[in-house]
Amino acid sequence: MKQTIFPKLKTLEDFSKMEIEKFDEMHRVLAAYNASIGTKNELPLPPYTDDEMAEYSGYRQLLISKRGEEF
Amino acid sequence: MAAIPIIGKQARGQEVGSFRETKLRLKELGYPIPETKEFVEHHFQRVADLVRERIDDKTLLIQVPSGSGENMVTYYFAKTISKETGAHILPDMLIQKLHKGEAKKNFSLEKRIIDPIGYQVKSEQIKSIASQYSKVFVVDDLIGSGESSIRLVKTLEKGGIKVTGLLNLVTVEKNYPTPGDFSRVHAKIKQYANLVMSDSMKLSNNLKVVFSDYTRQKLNRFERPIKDEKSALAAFKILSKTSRIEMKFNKEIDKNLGL
Repeated sequence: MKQTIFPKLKTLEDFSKMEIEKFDEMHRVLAAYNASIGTKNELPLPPYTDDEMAEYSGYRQLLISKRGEEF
Repeated sequence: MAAIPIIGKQARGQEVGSFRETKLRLKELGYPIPETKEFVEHHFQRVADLVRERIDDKTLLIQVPSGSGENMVTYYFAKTISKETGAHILPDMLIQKLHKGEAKKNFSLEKRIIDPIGYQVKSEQIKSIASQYSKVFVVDDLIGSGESSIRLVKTLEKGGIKVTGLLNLVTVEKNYPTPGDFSRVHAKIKQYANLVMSDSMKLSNNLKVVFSDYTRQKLNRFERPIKDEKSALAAFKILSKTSRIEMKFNKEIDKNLGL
């Protein structure tokens, strides 16, 4: 039976320094946005694309798992 | 989509408030390990019997991605279930969240159209992994309206992956809207907005399309601000728009699950 070969899943080591800096900035912006929701000074919706959000989310989940190794 | 079983014990108001407060405090402290472990283990004791009844080593656990990008509670909850039952956890990088506003922020339907709860899933890979298991559960630390977990379930089902149920550490609401709930909200909008028969029928259909798959809490939140003609008409309009989006999504689920 033909086996489907799936692409290798990214690990933390596969992200470049530039990508990590971008994700850290996104994290700050998204945290600030969420903290402002419902307040008088609600910030505008951050203008990230689906692809950017997906990459950022994947990176953050990997960080959570890495941290979880300490549990 | 049939209402997905929610496995968890319904928590009372005070318990939910206390859970949220403690979780927020842990988050502010960067989820310190001993305290976070203790927090999860304390709440796990309430649902341990339910988990052991339903979960075994032929179960795949799929975590809802963290809305804040920091949540260690769901992670550790999944790890605890796995340790207790032998269940396996889906590897990272197969599901990513797309929405910017966290689900717990309780956006209105209108705001959610602009920033919908959404996920990117690698369906073929997940299907290949899931085929090795007899059960698939989506895991999250807390369920309220179900917007984040149930939306993930629907996205997985759109990708052809059948989900057995939801597992939660704390359950705010585990019931789905009843015919009585729909009738009540329908009557309220109809009364204030003075709808004609055809709009009344559309309203009835749209309420079910938008709210049937989510817990009662989502419908209750939608109903709360309806108190006069203006708010009733606004509710009717946004419901029509949301219903069209949801119907399109549901059609794709039915198609991909062969229903």
